[in-house]
Amino acid sequence: MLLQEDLADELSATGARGVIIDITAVEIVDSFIGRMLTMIGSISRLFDAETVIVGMRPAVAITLTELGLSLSGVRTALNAEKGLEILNRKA
Amino acid sequence: MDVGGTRERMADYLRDHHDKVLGRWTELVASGMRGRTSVEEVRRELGDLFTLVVRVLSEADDHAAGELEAVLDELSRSRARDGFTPSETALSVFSLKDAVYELVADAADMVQEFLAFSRVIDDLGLRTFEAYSAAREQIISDQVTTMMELSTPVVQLWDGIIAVPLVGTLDSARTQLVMEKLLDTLVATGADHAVIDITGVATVDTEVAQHLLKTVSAARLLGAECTISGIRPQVAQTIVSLGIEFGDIATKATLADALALALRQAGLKVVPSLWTECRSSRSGRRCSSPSRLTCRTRASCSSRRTWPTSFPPPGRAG
Repeated sequence: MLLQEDLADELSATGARGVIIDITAVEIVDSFIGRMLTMIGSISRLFDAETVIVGMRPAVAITLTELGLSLSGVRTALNAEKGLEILNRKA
Repeated sequence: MDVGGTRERMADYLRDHHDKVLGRWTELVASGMRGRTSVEEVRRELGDLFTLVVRVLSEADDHAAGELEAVLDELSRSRARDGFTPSETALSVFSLKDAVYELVADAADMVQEFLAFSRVIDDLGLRTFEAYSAAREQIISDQVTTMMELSTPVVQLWDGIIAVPLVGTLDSARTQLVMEKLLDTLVATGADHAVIDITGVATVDTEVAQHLLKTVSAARLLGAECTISGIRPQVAQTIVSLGIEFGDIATKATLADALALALRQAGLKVVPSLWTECRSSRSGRRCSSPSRLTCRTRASCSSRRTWPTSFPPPGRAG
């Protein structure tokens, strides 16, 4: 929740065109986190910024899939470099 | 009734008639083997067993029972490997009773002893059956493990492109394994394109399709794009008639097509090596027009089909 507020504030202040969320350190996810990531994506889109989630672990991906969450509206990339690549291509 | 006494008397009796009983037993067993094992082999095996049976009956030492069980288990296992049925193995143990009965049939005072002996042999016969099925279970579980290991290779096709050739039937356990391996390899190699080749998958039903979709969406969460290739005509018909939707997942007829797509998406282009050669030749002209070639390999150039690395094949792109 705090993250969402901070992100929205920052986006409106800087006018950033892209958001990269690195979840390498996230080892356990639940449906709440899945929903939160989608919401961050939606919020960013309102500021015309694209969200890229990077560094997801295989186990996390499997869990999210089993939960039926495909994180629609959010781009994903293997690592931060590739995430930046996606954003640069877009810009 | 003195059970211990009867068993001991039986043991004495068997010891006295060792050669006669063993000979007859070997004869009975060997006749059932139909030449699959030599008579000497049978005699040696049964000789060991017979000695142990006598030792167990005489209750002289505590180790005899354990040893007998071990020998029996080994016998059952080797018989199982050689393709004998469990009944044949059990019958060869039971025929010891026949061999002994023929001897004691006339002696009226041996009935108790024979009954006690018979009970021991019955237990042994059942034990061979158990050992036999345990050996078979072991073989089956070993094979399952081997198949699991064999069936899920993840291969790297190109820098950044990996492929999973699936063979056989897909069930939940295997899909889980494939998914985990695929995702791990994606992370390890940093690949952003995966091809799932289902040429070897005999049937695709709703469950298998569900598994495939899950794998693809998990790979997408990692940021990798998936292509499903190797869909055979019958499989395609089944998929359509079952109403399975692959959505926006790219599907291709062959692994080659999928690789071509992946290369294109990665912004790579495979150029025939002849082009380079022609360019560097004296004319300094690309050999796009075969009639004006100056390079040595004109014959091979004039036919586009024979270019070794013409990829994607002309006309198949898309």
